[in-house]
Amino acid sequence: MPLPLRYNFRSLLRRPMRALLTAGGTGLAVLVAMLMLALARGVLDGIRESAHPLNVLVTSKGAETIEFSSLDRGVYEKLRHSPEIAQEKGNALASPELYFTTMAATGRGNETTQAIVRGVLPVAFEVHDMVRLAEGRLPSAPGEILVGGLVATKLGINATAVKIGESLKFEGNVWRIVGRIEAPGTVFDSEIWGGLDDLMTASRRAEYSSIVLRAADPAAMEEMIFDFETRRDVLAESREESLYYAAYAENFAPIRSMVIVMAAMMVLGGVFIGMNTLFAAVVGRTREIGVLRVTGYRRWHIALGFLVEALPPALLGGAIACLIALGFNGLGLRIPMGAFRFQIDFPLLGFGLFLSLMIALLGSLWPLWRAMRISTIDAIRHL
Amino acid sequence: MKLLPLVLRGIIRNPIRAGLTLAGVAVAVFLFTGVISLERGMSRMLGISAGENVLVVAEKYQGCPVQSKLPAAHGDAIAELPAVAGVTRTLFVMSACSRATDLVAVHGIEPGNYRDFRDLRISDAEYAAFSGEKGAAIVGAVVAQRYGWQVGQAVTLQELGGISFTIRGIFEAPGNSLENAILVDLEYLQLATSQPGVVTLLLVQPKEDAEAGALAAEIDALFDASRAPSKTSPEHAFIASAVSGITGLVDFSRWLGFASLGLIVVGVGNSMSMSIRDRTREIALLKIAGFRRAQVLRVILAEAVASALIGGLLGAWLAAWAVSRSAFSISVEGYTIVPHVSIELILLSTLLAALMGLVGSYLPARAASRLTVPHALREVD
Amino acid sequence: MSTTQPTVVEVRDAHKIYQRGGERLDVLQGVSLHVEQGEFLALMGSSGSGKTTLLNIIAGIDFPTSGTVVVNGRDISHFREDQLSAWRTRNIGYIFQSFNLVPVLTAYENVELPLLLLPLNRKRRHEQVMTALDLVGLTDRKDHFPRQLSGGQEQRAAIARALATDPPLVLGDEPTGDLDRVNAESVMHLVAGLCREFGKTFIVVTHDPKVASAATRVLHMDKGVLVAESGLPLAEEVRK
Repeated sequence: MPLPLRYNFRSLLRRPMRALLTAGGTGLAVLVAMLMLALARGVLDGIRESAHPLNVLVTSKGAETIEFSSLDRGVYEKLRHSPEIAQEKGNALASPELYFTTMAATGRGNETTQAIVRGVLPVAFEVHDMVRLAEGRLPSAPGEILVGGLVATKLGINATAVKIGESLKFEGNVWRIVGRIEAPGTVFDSEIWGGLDDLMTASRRAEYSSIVLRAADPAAMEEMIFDFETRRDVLAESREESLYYAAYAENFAPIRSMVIVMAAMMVLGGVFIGMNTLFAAVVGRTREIGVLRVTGYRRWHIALGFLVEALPPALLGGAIACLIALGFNGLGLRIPMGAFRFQIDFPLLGFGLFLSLMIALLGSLWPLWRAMRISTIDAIRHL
Repeated sequence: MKLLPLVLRGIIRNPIRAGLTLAGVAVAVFLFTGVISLERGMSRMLGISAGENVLVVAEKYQGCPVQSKLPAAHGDAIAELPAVAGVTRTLFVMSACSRATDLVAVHGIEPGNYRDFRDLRISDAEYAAFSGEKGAAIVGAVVAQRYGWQVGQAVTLQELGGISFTIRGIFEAPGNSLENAILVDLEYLQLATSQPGVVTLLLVQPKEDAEAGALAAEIDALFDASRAPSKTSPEHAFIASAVSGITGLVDFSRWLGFASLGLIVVGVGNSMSMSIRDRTREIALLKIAGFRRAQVLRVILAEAVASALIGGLLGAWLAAWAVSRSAFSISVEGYTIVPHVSIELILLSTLLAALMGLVGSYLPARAASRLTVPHALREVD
Repeated sequence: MSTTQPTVVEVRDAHKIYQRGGERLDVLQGVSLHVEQGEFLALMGSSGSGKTTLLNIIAGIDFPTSGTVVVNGRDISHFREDQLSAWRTRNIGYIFQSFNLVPVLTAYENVELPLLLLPLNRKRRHEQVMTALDLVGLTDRKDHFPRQLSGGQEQRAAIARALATDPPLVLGDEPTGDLDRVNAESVMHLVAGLCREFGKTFIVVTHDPKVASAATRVLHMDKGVLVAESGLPLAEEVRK
């Protein structure tokens, strides 16, 4: 790099306004791209990560999703003794569950919004081991519920309304919150959990929605699923929980494509701004380029210098974007059938900075080509 | 406006800069228009899909409308109420409540009075053929196009447990979510899905002078003590509640719209700032020629606004074209939302672009107009 | 004229044709030239005579459409752009009429520019910069930016830069064109004196008869050809 860096840095500082505006453009683009990516990741990964690799999900035949599934209680009785099921302290890890959507309101309020409710037995915590009781206790009497960390977001209400001791109203009853569950980055985080029988009675349902079985090991899991296909006595179907959630996540594919298009557009806008700025620098200093060339500097020396000049504003913009993005960390957003939290972590921030470099690079291609292309004689004749 | 040639010349003088600025604005406006079009699509769907004054009777406590289940007999009781002009029953069968894409929806309807509630554009002959045959169906234009279905075709839906029907007509209902649905006879569907006597929703048309709120309460009171209590609400509120799951995303994307407007402010501001620096001499000449400060300001601002306007129009128009060509749609609990770009949105986007161009270039333009002649003529560093 | 000195520049039948928007311009129409080491050559002529083009071809900034240019024993007429760039650093010192210096670099840093292209260690480089600055009398202004220097001082800095790599050939395109009479004279004396002192060959394109009068040889060009030569020292001319 024979051309001294100070030449390019000082040239950059000579026009602070355009450096700042270019930083602003890059920053906006990077911020949007990062947030969009966090959104896509949060939604799609959040669904996929709700599965345990050794879990098998049993639903009624033909039911594409749990909410449309109805299983006779007898099915549970037949399945819970399967040898392939993992055992924990002598208990089979088989979790019968009730899953439904309802309209809920806060204890004091009247406006109802959609809520997702899951009726479970304590074994559910073993089977879905990414869920843990963070605060309070498990329901021990009818009318008691647990709420997930994102329930307030899902219901569109204040977090204080779902603190332990507060109540929610649904299915014509009042339910007291006795505990908080945490299952960050999974669908369970936006759910209300309660006692299985309690909720079945309250919602006047006689059948389970699903049974989740933990296989002892991968071989056992295969056995279990194969078994199902051949069994005649049980009218149900089974699949790997991970496959179920993967398919479910695919439903949100429109969100993913939306996100990519939007981020790409913003990046393109940022590229145009950076390109405009660098173009002005190259064209405005054509004579200067000529003087450098006469002195003996080669085309690529000069081009590299301009590229270096394009980097600081972009990185500044990217850094500011990262700082602002951090402010979004942990923010909850409601989505169809759930909610998710923005996760702004180091890989994402790193991507943001990388993206700002890319914007600088892409925006510099045409101006650099222009700087390289001009002949010495034309450059010194300019102006 | 006599300044127009001056303004245009200013833009053309540096074609690459003008082109890049325009392109940047166009991209930002394309994005803005696209984002808002989703919002507009949602309100359009709400406006069209919801029947005016229609009340929807759904299962109480049910969070997902698709899963609401009520006895068909409720309809008889409702019809007896003095304030009721008409009742129709519908049964929804859908592949999933949470499906966002390629939703397959079958609605069982009562052909006799369904058209009192829904505006379906279909030939009377086709509708008559449909009404007369139990296993017949009429399908929405969007669904027909998606699967390439023709009138007369027999279809079996594997996804929904093998429901079969013969298509007797294709209907249009622009803007209505119904265009994504397949309509069959209610009783036929009940039998096909082993749900005799079950309906999903009842639609109620109140009499002219009836008070909707009171009627809703009256209907719910009818079934309050029964095994299937109901929740009645105006259809508009009902659908709004159903799609409320997506409002979080829509609101968030509005912020994205603001970001793209911000990009215009930055882009045009930067471009003008550079332009002005290149033309300090020209500005001095303008002043020598007698232009006052305010006039110089106006010329510069006019240039910025013109660039932004042209770029904005281009971007908005491209967005309109892209939206009309794309098959993008998002389904929330059985209702399908399609982005919609209207003339009004194109105008709004374009004007906002011009405004943002104004905002972005104001400070540099003001500084330029304040340049004193000697300063401007001196070789500026 | 005895040719005891080695030939620094040998131009043989150089032609230069420009194509500008469909129009063909014959800027040089067969120029041949021979310059010995130590000469101070002035190229004069009206606008469009091709004098600057000739200068630039010798400098390796431009190339002839046909013909050869041999400078310091190398035929540079077929060098590629990048080869020419590299060659120029060691072989040519060039002084422009205006905008010679990079505005964001100090006088010191401007003079240092060509030296950064050579494999010198920092100490050596510093020495050479200071030597060049000293020769032109700008040592006390070394940390000033071009905008803080007067026109004359700027040109002197340009001279220092041109001399920094100790090139055998120094070229100037109207180097005094933008200066007032006093500065023009002192700058001209400075650069001519330095060239003489260090045995450098100096070729200048100029309009100024005063500059021409200081030269050892003056060539006139018109419409792309050399038309006249007056080169005997003034004293000898008078004697004649």
